[in-house]
Amino acid sequence: MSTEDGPRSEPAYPTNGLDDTVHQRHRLGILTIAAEGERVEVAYLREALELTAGNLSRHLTVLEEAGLIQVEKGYHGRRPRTWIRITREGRRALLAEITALRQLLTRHAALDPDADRG
Amino acid sequence: MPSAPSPREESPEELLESVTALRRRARAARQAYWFPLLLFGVLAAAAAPLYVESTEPGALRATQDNPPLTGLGGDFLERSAALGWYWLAALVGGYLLSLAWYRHHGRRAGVQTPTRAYVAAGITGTLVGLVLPVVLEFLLFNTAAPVSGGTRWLTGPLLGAANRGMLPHLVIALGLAVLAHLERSRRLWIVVGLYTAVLVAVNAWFQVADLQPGDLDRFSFMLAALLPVPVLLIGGGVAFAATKQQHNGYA
Repeated sequence: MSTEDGPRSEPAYPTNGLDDTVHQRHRLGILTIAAEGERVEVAYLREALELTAGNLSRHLTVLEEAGLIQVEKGYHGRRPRTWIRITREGRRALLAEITALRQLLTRHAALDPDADRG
Repeated sequence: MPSAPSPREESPEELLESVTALRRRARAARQAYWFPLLLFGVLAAAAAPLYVESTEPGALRATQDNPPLTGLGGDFLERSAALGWYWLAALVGGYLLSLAWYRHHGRRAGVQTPTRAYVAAGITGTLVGLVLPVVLEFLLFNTAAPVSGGTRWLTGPLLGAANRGMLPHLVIALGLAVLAHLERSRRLWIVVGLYTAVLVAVNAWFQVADLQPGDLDRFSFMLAALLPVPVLLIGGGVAFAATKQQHNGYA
């Protein structure tokens, strides 16, 4: 779910640009990987994100219901395979999330110039 | 006022780092451009014998009346028609084989690269290569003086390259440039840049050299056609080695 201003308006504070659906770490990971190719297989996502099948399935359902991904089921030989394809809306949401995260980082760095000096 | 992130939530920095790592990993898994580089390198090397001229003086040869589908071989070389047929089959076959390779690789890796634009660019480039010599000849010899004179700087060198059977290399360069964009690979862009640079340099040499009868021997056109090939073969070999190394690293 989006915050009240929505992810595509120009927020006054960067957290307003964060979309709860996308901001969750694993869902952000799913969208990132899906945006990298034309399609990505569920087995690859499970391995890359180190998720159980049940957990991954829950995240995929959230993203699919939000219209950010499409799920395609098929076969390779006799083996059933499920592929994920990011939608245009999904790409927009991912871009908005990454932009908001970068803005947050910039703002943090501006407020606390010593933060990087460890 | 925005709420502060809870202690269990990851910081923006951590999230962005994780995004970068996942993107890098997925990109490494899906990139497979070593195959088209080696494939087109081998296809270009295999065409070499068709660029060799016989010892018979060119002036004594019968004039050629090549079929339109052999336009990629030009009409200057002794075996232009055979070269044209070869390149037509090699380019169409090469792009279709690349498509099959990417489908196979995508299924195995779990991440598919979008290759439709690459194949479309390759096939379109091949078709353009077939008709380009006719269009260039028309522009150079059948248009009004201001048109032919004004476009000569481009049509002249391009027709020269077409006559020497070098257009297929341009079609390969075009397809690989589209592939570099789709693969989001800086390394592939470097290979495409080098390949194009060698191609342009070889054809520029023919254009600027004041060649006299007897300056070229029967292997000159073959050498010209072979010069860009090592770029593809070395680039493909290096990419293949890097892919294997990466694969072993993740295994």
